[in-house]
Amino acid sequence: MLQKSFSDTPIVLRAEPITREQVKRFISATGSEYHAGNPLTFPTVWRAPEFQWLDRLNFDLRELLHTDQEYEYLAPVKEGDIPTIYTKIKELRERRGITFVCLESEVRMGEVLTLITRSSFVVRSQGEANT
Amino acid sequence: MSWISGQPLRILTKPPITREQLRDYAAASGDNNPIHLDETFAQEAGFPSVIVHGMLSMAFLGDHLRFNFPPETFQVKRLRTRFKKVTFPGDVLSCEGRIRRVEPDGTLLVSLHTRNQRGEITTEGEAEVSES
Repeated sequence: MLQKSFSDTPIVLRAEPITREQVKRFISATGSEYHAGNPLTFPTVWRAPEFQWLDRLNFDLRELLHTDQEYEYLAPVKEGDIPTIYTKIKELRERRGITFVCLESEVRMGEVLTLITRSSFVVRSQGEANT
Repeated sequence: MSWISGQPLRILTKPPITREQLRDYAAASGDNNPIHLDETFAQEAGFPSVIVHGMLSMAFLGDHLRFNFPPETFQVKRLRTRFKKVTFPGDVLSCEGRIRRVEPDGTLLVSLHTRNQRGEITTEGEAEVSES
């Protein structure tokens, strides 16, 4: 029941407008050379609702592993756009003592759905190092 | 340009990852998990040192994809990665890949991975790319 109640309601964040400075900082940090505009993983800057979910679920960051990441690009994103991010739990299950969670986010610029992201995590026991 | 299944992509090797880069990436991305920044915290988690954000490896693969499929000509529809092995400061990642399949509508299904200086595959990925 707890899992169902978690999965029903998304966390919504209206982010700050995309600025040239924000993009430049990301390009510099990643050493990206072959982008035009935003690098493909720039949308990672909008993961705050994911971190809120992980916090709500009381996962210990020492035991949390980010295992998979997916971006589905539906429309271009440009400087000045104001993203609204809707993040919900797509899947939450436990098997043999290991918890698996998949968070899915829709990123909208106004009414336009521009991006869908999926981030998967496992909560491991110490000694099962991955990433 | 015509593409064929199995065709290798041009390799892109990134400079060694530094702790300073992890701090910069944390600030730029908002991922401030101390496992990437705090040696003591990382050791308590069972690692010998801080570990590299998986998403930084994915950023390398994104750059690799754009290196091979420039944004002026190609549209990336999807990018997906699986983080296979932990990466540490000082590691050098090379991005490699190949055309896995060419769909009837021309969409390219691309396999990607990062390999460290020990020859280990650390991140695997796939992408869908089409000419715009």
